[in-house]
Amino acid sequence: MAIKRLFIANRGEIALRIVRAAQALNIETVVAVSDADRDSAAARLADRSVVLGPAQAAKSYLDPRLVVHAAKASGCDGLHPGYGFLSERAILPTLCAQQGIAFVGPAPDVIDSLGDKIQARAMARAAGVPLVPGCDGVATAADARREGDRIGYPVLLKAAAGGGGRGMVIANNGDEAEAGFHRASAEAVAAFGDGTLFMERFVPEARHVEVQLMGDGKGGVVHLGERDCSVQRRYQKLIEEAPCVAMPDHLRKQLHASACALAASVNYRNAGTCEFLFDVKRQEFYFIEVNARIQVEHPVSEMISGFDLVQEQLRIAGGAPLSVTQDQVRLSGHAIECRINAEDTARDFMPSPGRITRWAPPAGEGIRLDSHMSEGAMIPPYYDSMIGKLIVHAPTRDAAIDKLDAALADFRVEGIATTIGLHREIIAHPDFRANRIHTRWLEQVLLADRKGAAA
Amino acid sequence: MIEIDDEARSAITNARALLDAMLAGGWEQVCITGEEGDYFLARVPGTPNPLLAPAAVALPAVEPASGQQTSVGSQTHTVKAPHVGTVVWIAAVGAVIGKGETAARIAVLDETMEIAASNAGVVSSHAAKIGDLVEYAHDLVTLVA
Repeated sequence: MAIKRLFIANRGEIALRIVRAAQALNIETVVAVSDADRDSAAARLADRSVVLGPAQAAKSYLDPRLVVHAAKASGCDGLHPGYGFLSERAILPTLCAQQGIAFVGPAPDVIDSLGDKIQARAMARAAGVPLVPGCDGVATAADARREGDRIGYPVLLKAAAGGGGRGMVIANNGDEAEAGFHRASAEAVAAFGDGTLFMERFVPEARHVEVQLMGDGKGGVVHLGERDCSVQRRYQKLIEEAPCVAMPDHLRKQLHASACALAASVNYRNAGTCEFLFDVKRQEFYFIEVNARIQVEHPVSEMISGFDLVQEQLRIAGGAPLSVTQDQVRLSGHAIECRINAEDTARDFMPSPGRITRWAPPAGEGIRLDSHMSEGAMIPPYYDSMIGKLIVHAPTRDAAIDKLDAALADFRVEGIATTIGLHREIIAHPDFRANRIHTRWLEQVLLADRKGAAA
Repeated sequence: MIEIDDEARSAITNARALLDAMLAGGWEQVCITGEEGDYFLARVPGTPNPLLAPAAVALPAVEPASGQQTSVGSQTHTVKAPHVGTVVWIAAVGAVIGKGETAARIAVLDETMEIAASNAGVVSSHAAKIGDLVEYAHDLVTLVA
């Protein structure tokens, strides 16, 4: 049954985004807030807000019982978790089901199995999705050389019992594999009491590519193309693009087919993202994980497809089938998104909470801003530092970069430090324009150059 | 290498924000008291920790951890909801409530929580009724000492 009143268990720009999507579908909205977010843009726009608890997320947004109780007691028949917070915790859909609330997301068992890396890899393997080449249970140095030769160098030797980087060695050839085995195994024995290792191919300059999926839990799965999210700092994405122009068409088709096959194998319901590592040199891609929720970077897929993913999520959670077939999905042009964070990039990206004294965002054709900020708004220090996402769309990547540069130049924010200047530096860099980037490019090249210049 | 989960990362971010504010604001000392512990930060190493000094330093008044407020002048004391919940019981007007005794109960799903008064008093009024969905820090009952 279609959702009539939606509870939004999130904050910031995504809460506002969900309120707007719900309103477009004539769904009433109740927004959960913490004490620090009583006056948030989402709370003001929604029909009602409910203060769950104090500012600390653990006592408000991260308490599933408070969230579901507030949803039920405020008469909601649907709950959208947004991203982060409780969005990938199976307890939330479990409690929702007990209270007769439609959860805007996958079934709890699907969240659990996709959230478990080992199970997710097994499911991917079963669905024919490529995994990083590797092997389990390397017992001797001779095994390490033989498997390294088979997998292809460089390889990573890791402690089977380990984690946290201990017992981990990179080997570039057979000799290094043998020597590395002795070192990694000794470290693993010392750290974990178990010298068993496993090996996998190491991709030094990988790109992060992901496929946007939408499934209805009734057998229907479509993809809305892929995104390239290779500009990252410490595994946090900063810039996302769609499509991944570094990937040739034949590989792109295989990528989409792999992601759809995995989603179909679990009869996936909801928006989701299948993440891959793209080895540009070898022209191969490998499964990383599935994110069973809407993602921060979903707008770039919306811009190239003209499809509203959040509205579709709400329709599907209300029991409707997919509103499009794969043949009806038309992707056009190029979109780029910059995450605008309240951080001081000159001071090791230190968070910069405080009051925004000036907020003058750019506007124009092909420019979209997803943000909960406004002049005078207060950025509390308790949560993520993202204050908005600037997205541009143009016919080509070059045109999109030009448009983005102009938009960033027009974006005036005062009172706090932001990443706007860094974004301009990134997109002005010849490597970005020439698309010679990888997941460690920002830290190894641009930020390293910055440090060098400052020294 | 130390593995950091999301919750810890969030805490570190907040601590960094606090340090940033401390440096930017020129503060010499910061005292934080809360349910999870008390913290003292000082810019100058060796600064005596006022949280350890027996009543030697007056700390700014903070709201009690249970989310209750006392008005000393009027001798009234308001018991507030520590989080969202549905009211299932409130002490009757005129009831005498001792310090630490239950003044109201709120339910979260199938679990009922007792909300204790942090000061003794007589219930003078209700600010919520049974069945109400009360939000965080919403007044429940007022006690007169």
